[in-house]
Amino acid sequence: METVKSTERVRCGQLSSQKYRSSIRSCLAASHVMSNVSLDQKEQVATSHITYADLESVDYKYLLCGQSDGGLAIYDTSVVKEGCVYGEVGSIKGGRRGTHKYQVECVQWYPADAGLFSTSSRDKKVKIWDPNRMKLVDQFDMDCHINHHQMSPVATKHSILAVAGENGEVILCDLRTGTSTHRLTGHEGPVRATQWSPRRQHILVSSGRDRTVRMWDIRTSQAFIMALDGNHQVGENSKRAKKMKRIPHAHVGQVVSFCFTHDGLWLLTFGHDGELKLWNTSTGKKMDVRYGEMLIDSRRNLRMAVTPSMHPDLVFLPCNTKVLVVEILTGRLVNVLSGHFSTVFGALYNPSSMNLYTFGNDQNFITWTPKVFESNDFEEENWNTDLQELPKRNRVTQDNWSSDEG
Amino acid sequence: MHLFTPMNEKKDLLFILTTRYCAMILECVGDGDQLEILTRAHGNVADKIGKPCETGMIAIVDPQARCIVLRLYEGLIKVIPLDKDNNELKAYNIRVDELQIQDIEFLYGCSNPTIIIIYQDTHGRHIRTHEISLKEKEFSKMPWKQDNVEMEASTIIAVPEPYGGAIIIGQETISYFTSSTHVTVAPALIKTSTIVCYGKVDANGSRYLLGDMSGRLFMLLLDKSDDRPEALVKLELLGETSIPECLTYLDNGVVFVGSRLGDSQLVKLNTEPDASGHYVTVMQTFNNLGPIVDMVVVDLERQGQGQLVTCSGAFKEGSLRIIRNGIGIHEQASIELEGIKGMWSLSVNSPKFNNTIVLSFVGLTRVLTLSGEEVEETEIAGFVSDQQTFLSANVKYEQLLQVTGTSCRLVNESTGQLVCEWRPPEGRNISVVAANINQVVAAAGQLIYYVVIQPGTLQLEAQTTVEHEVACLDVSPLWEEEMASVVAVGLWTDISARVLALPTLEENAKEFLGGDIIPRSILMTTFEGHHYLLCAMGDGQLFYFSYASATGYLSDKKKVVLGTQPTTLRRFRSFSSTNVFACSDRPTVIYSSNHKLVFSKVNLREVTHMCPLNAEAYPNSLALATSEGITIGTIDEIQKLHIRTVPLGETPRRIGYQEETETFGVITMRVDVMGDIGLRSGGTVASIGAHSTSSAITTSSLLKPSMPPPPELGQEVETHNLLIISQNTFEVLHYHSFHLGEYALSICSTRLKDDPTVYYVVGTALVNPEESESKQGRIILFSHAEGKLQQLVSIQDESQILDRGEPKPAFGRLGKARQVVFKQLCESRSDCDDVLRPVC
Repeated sequence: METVKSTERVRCGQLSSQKYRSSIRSCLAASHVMSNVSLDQKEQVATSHITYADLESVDYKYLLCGQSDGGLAIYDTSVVKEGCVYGEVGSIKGGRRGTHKYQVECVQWYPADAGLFSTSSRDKKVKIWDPNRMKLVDQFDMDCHINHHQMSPVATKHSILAVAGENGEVILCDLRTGTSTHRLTGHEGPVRATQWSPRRQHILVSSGRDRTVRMWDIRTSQAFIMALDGNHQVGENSKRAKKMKRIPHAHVGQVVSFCFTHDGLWLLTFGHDGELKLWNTSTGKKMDVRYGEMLIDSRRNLRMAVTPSMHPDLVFLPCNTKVLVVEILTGRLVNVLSGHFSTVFGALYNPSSMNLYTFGNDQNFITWTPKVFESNDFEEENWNTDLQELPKRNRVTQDNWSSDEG
Repeated sequence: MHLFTPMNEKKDLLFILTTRYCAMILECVGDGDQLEILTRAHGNVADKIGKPCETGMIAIVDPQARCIVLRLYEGLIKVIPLDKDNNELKAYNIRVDELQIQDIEFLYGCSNPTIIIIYQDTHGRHIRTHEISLKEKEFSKMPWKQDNVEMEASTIIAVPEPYGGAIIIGQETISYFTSSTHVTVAPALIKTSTIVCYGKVDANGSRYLLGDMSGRLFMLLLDKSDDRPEALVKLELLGETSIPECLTYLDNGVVFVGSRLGDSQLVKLNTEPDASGHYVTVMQTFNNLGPIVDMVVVDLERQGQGQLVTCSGAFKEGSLRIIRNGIGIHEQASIELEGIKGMWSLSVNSPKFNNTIVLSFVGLTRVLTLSGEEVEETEIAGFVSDQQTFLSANVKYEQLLQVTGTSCRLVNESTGQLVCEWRPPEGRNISVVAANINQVVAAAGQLIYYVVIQPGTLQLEAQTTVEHEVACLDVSPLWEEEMASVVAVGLWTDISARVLALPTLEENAKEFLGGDIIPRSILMTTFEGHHYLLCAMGDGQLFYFSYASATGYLSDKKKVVLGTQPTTLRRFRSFSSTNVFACSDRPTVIYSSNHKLVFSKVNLREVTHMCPLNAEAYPNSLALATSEGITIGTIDEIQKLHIRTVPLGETPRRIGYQEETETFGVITMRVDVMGDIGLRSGGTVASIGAHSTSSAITTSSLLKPSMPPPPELGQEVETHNLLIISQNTFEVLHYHSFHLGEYALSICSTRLKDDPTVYYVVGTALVNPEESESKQGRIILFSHAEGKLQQLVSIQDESQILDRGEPKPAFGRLGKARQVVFKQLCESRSDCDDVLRPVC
């Protein structure tokens, strides 16, 4: 992709601007380098670190972080304050009344707007918060430890929180009534994570320590619709699986992370065996894509990030101390981001600023910016000081994109 | 937007899909002129999530109109089943495993709707067919497939029955596939360019037109004889057209070539080749300005009217277009005669057409007759020819009127004899005169005489004295009046316009115009039922008032500047509306649109006089007197864009205008083929005809390592050039070619700090094919003087500035950016090592 040539072709109308844009974007996304922007953590206790984070999907601005001491913090990623930090919008320290007793396992913004968020912890509680007042508004008490929870990003007919319980059940909690409606049983051993399908609002996928990845339709009384089979090509449906008396395993090791692609057509799973697998979500078929061997020594839930609507689509996969950038459909390794000193817990991609955020066990939070922007940053420092007052991130994005995206 | 015509009834319906995912089916109802478009069905087919396709949206309609298939999102195919009485379009998705679908088409002659797909994966491009089961909303089976077709296969043509199957067009080959057989041909002809579109000629699908990126038109023949199982595929070159975007075969060998990069054309296919072996003749071209990559607004004739010069088109269709607003006069004939002071058209003994033009010079009058297209000089017996005529007209009772400085002469039209002569009393000389078919108003100094035309006589009705000398007069009858009820007068000294009532010559209204320039022409006229008084001054200004005939008051005084020279107002009719022609150095047509006066420039240099002319050979024309002669022409429809095309034959990229040297600097790009001796370019390009040429000289060691190796034989190379084009003739004065791989990205004309010379400043980027982005570029200063272009300074720019300038084309054009950069440039020019620091 020669940028100069392509721009001219776009101007003449020979190249569709959409194609150009998406290829430039993924080109940028593939070239992330570390930036010196970090979080404003002055007021935080030094020993606590971020265990889980989520970016709201309305204007990709506010970053919600769960801390290891049970505290919570919200940062505004659109403004870079002095000292290269993102400003804190609101926070609640761990140990205060209402906060989680133990470390926060999972946080999630309410998908429709940034007026609500939910957190869960190993203290058997799921809490619903109002971010404007930073106050607890509701709380679900579970009878088991919670590993993960999620709300459907596309649901219009329900507002159900799917909670992955340590006792092997997926517990569905209805936000409207404030009670748990029903439980999906089947996993032998703890459920590690749950994900709703972004395409169909009743489809839920869960992974457990029993190495299975199951797909449920919450409307049916059936056990589950299918379980992904890592050994065979086609996913087993529940009837056949019952006959076989064995539910197929998706991976040899337990699944530490899984994620739908942005369009919901594919499911990516990452097992403790170091394999990344791509599944067709409608048939449950494993796609024949080889991603190569990756080593992973953590059994913790990891959060991987996918890029929306790019060509080719990329996945940011936390793998020990590095973050791998891989093309989803071809399996090509595009970039390796190394910067963390210890295990990376998760990666978050911001589609509007094209930044990548990662957090890990080394208590660092790193922002990665596309390379082109970074070189701009470098020069900017030599430039006039009176321009420096502008928020840096803002200006950089405007400079480069205003002419093309209009 | 995609247009399709499904056939499910007697009549075709139109399916439209917009880029905002709205789909609709339209029907055209009515016959003749009364057509109405009805929406049969509509709906939105957008998905909440999904990745839009890279290769654009594709919509296809089943040949038997059972369903519509849309390809909008990656990995999904949307099916809209077609029911008769459903006015809502509802779609459902079918998941396809094939990613990166290049093209999709319905096959003909299948019991269930069947689509054929070209898709790409890591191994290459493949063809699949899928049968759609409308009941189960999924693909039922795959009738046939063909793996590994050509790597660049991009287009499918579904062939109708009885042939069936599909034609796959790639970069080098054309293949014909059916479920059982396939034929592949690789004509050498198509290799040099890419086939971009096709058009079906015959309903049975045996002939297709193909168009490629270099604008060549091909005919693809599919010949299937009964005794052979395999069909024959033949390709023939027909000729050259614009670069097509779509081809539609209309009828009788006429093809519409729709072009995005150049003008669309209507071409006729001939059965016999012409002298150059082509079968194509262009019948009509439709102007297309796009794609406009850059443009400048200039005032070429310094008339205060901006013109737009755009860089339009691409490749061989590249051109500069000069666009201006105004009225066009189509010149039909011209006569060379100098010093015309006045001009009137008469009809002597011909009731329908004008056949005579009376021309007035200083001290003499000449009469021309028009017989057919011939012009000859004659005489009218009753007219004096040794005096300057002030006015001449056809008047009532089949008489002609000639007014000279001394007298008004009434002449019988049929005999040509003088029947009456009226002289102002006391031997005064007529200074200004105005007339209509019934009345004559003449002024001698401060005296105004009102004369009525009777059969055979001129009768003085009234006379009056005004305060100052009369400068101009008008006695035009207002709307639907037989006799004018008022006379408009412009006076010397106090510079006023007055309206006098007839026949008493009492003053109705008076309006001071101000200033010390005398009014030169006054006119009462009616536009769209409103009366106006127009008064043109000696310096090109025009005052206009609205005139209320009931009260006789003038109101709403307004002023416009039409030109700089004395202006004469003449009325004429065009397309059944009244217009006023203002003759001056910037001729203007005044007309009314929505009860507002509109002043529209005419594309002529200078007009001194004008008269409407409705001759047999020149119907509904205007005779325009200029300083050199008379031009007879017809007038365009009012207010139209005028587009002049300067073909370049190469892609214009950027344009800059330099007022001081009266030149344009145009950056162009063209694709050359490496030949035996050097670069060779195909077709006629503007650079070849340049008066002088130069090419870039490597001045710095910095360039050398990044220079690409010389291209191999037959390889296509993009070269960037700077053309200096004259603003008057649009000839290429100079042509400068840049290095290979050096992309000129921006141009502007500027003056450095205190230096009086103007420079063209060109910013370039050095593109290395291996790198995705270029890391360096140059800023080059050119000065153009006496037809020569000198490369003055070239500054290496290591800091990627031009490359960053490239996403924002405004770089180097932003006044601020430019000045700051070049001030620094100017200062650093003295010392050799330029350190260019971008300041903003």
